[in-house]
Amino acid sequence: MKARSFLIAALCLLAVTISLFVGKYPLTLEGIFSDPVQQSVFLRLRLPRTLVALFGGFALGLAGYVFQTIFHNDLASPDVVGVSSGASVGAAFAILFLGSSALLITCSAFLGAVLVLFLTLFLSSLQKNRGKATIVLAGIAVHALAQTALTALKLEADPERELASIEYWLMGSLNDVTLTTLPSLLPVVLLVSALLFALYRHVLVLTLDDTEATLLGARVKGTRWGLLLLATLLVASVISVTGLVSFISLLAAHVAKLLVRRHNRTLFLLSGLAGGILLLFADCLTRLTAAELPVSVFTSILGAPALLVLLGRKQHE
Amino acid sequence: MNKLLQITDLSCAYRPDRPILKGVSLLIERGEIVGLLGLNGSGKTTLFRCILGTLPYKGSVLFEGNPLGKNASKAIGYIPQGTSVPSLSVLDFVLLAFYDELPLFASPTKEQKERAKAMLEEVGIAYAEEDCASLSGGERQLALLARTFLRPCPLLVLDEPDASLDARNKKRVLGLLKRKIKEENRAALLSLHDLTFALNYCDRLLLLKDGMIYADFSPKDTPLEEMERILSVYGKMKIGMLHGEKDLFAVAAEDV
Repeated sequence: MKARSFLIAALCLLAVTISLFVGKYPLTLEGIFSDPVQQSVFLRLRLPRTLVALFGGFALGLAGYVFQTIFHNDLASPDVVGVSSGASVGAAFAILFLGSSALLITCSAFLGAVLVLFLTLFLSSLQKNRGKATIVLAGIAVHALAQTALTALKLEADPERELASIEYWLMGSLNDVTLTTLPSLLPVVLLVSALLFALYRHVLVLTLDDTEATLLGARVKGTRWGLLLLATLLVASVISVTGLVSFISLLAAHVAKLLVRRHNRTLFLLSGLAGGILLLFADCLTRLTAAELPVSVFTSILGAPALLVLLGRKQHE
Repeated sequence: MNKLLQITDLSCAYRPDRPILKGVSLLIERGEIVGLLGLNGSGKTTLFRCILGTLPYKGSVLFEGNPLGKNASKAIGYIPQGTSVPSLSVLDFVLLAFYDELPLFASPTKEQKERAKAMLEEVGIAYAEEDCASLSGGERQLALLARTFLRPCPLLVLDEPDASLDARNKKRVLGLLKRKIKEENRAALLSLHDLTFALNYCDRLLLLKDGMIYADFSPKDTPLEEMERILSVYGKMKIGMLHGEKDLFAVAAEDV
C-alpha cells in the first residue's frame, strides 16, 4: 500500500515536471529565474496550463468515480450518461448567445449538464425493473439528443467566427489556458472535491441497494441527487474551460482500482489523481505535435486500449 | 403486553387481478423468533416488502401500536435475500450501521469503531480490514447480522438467511440470531426453507399459503402428526424427535 502511494505520488510529480518544461518555447531551470521572457512564459502559460491539466483531470476522475459508484455500474461515467455532452451544449449555447464571460459559460454548462442528468434519470426511471444497464442505455439516448441540439446550435452559428470557435472548443484543448483561466476552475474544483471528500460516507451508503440503504436511515433519492449534482458541477467547470475531454472520467477510476480495490477515501482520491496524471500526459503529448492536436485525440488514444485491457482483465477474473 | 408488530388484514397485489396476499394477519412479540414458511412464490418476500413499506398495500401494519410511516429505519433491521455486498472493508460495511446517527459531514467516531470491532469479534469475523465482497456466503450473513445488531431497531426482518449456506454456517447464523434476540429482548421475523432448522430454531412458525396465514403454531407445543399435516404442502413427510441432552426435531421426506 505504501509503495503504491509512493508510486502514484512520484508519477504525479514526474507528470507535473514534464508538463512544466515541455512545449514550443523551451524553458530551462536557470532561465526561469534569470530570463524575464522565460519567466513570463513559465508563470503566465506553462504553470497555469499544468495546474489546469492536473486539477481538471483530478475533477474529471473524481466525478467519474462518484458516478460509477452511485450507479453501481463501471461504465456509467459522466461522458457515457450524457452529462459531458449536456455540458457542451450548455457551453456552446453560452458562447453563441450570452457572450464569452467565463462565469456565464460555466453556469450554462452546469445547467446543460444538470438538464441532461434529469433527462437520463427520468428515462431510466421509466423502465420498471431497471437493471444496472438501464442508466447507460438512457444515457446513450440522451447523449444522441444532446448531439442533435449541438448540431442545431452550430447551424445557428455565424460560420465565419462563432462556428469555428464552437468547433475548436468542442475538440477540447488546453491551448488557451492562461493565468486568467485559473480563478474560474481551481476554486470550484478544490471546494467541490473537499465537499465530496467530507461527504464520502454518503457515497458508501449508496453502494448498498436502495431498500437496504433506506433502512439504515439514508434518504436515498436526495443523497444521490446531491452527490450527482456536486460531481456534475466538477465536470461542467472543467468542460467550460477545456472543452470536451473524453475518456478521463471513464478511465481514471478503473486505473485507481488497479491499486486499491475496495471503496474508501484512498480509492476516491486515487481516482482523482489518476485523472490528473492522465490529462497531464495527454496534454504533454499534444504539445509535442506540430499542430497541437486536440487533447481528446490523445486521451482517446491512451484511453481506449487501456479500457479494453482493463475490461479484459476483469472478465478474466 | 409486548406487542411489537401487529398486522391486520393485509392485502397486496402487483396486478389488480392477481393478488399475492389476501388478508394476512399476524402478531409478533418481543423476545420471539418467528419463522415464515411457504413455497417459492407464496408471497414471503412480498409480505416483507409491505412491512418495510416499499410496496403499497391495504390493511394495517402497526409497530408498537403506531403506523410505521417514515420511521421504518428506526424500527426494523432488514437483511435482504441473496446478500450481494459491495466492495468495502468489512469494518466500513458494518460502520454503516451508524449512518443516521452522525451529522452530515461527520465520519464514524472512535467509540463507534470500537463497538463495530467488538461486534465483529462477537459474531466471529476476525478480519475487519478484509474486502466484504471476498467473504464467503456465511460470513457475509454474519457481517450483515453484526451491522443489524449495532442498530437500535427492535425487530429484525431476514429474507432467507439460510439460502445457500451449508449446515455449519446455518447453525452459526441462526444460533447467533437466537442468542442475541433473547439477550437483547428484540424479535425476529425470518423466512426459511430448511424445515429442520425452522422447527429447531424458531419459537413460532407461520405458513403462508394462498395469500393467507394458513397455520400459526409453536413447534414445541404442537403434536408431531398435526405438524406433518400442516407442512404437507411441501410434500409428504415424517417429523420425529431425537432425544438427547436437548430434544431436537428431525424431518424426513416420505416419498423418496
